[in-house]
Amino acid sequence: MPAPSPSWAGGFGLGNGVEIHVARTQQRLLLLGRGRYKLWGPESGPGSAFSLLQALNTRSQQVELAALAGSSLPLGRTLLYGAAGVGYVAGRQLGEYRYSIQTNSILGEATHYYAYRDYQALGVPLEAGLLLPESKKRPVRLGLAFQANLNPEHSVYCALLSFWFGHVGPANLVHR
Amino acid sequence: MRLLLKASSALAGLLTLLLASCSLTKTDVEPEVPSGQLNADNTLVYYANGQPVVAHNYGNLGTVFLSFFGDGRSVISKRFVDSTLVVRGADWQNTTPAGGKNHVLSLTLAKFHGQGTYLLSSPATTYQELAVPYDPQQATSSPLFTVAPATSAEVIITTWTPITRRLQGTFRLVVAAPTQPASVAITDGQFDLFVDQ
Repeated sequence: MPAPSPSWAGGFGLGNGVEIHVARTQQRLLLLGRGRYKLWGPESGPGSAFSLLQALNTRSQQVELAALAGSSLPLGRTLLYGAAGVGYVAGRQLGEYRYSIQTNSILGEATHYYAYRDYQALGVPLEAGLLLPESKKRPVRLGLAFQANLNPEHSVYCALLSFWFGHVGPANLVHR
Repeated sequence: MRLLLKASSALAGLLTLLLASCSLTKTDVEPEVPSGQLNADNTLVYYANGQPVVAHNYGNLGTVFLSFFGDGRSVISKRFVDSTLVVRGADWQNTTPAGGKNHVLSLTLAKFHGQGTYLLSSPATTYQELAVPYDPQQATSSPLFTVAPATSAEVIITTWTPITRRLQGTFRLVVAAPTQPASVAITDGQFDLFVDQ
């Protein structure tokens, strides 16, 4: 019986970060490539309140490009997977608050300035997740992904709802 | 046994990767201080031991309310009958979180006559760091820094327009307090303001 050919899948994830991914699976072996972006504010102090309109100079951010290898494990029709690899990160990490500039306005508008660090590093990306049952009637497969990048500058953790197009995991899991 | 070997290999691989992780580049950046006037109003900026301090005037409902109780402006300049000129800047406009500091700098120029260089001296020129939240008692209880002995302390007036009373200049000094172990170097100071009548 010939060995099943590898399958390709791709998609994106949304959560406390955004990411795109591409995966190649052969039986239970999983190779994963991903690009992720996360934006977050200081835990306290000026600019810490959530606001989509908050100026970028009160936000830390990190971009990641990673290649991972791992394994998948069918659990009924659900697929569990885990992977680790190597990743490049580039980011900006806010430091201490320095000063604010207030404009002349009725309610007062302020722009806050922080010290910050720009960095690039190599880290260890990790990912564990699950994919809900696949169906030929539905082109997209939903999943949950928990991602991390452990690096000397700033480790980042994300929880995302993931969307997969194509087939992931062993070939015999597809149901009509 | 096979499972144990696989788990051990995976753990060893992960540890190897963790050891290989490293920083490639890192650059620490301090925000620059603005130049000129902010809100077309009095502005005074400097670095205190390398950290930027920005004080400027602004207007909103809060400042209008406070004006009924006194002069709450951040940056003020007054000229006295004996030709003494005082420039005071306090960064009250900052939304400094609790535990942070507000900075109050008062420069006294003796015998002000316009453009030129003025030497600053103790005790007339002062500097204080006040803890947030502000407590009026702090003005008397917080250490008062004055011009450190045997140091260079000066203001250079670059522009003085008597008709509009617009004053621009630069300054630098080192201040110290008897109870404090370290002095504060105030560098790259500049102001652009209107002197009160």
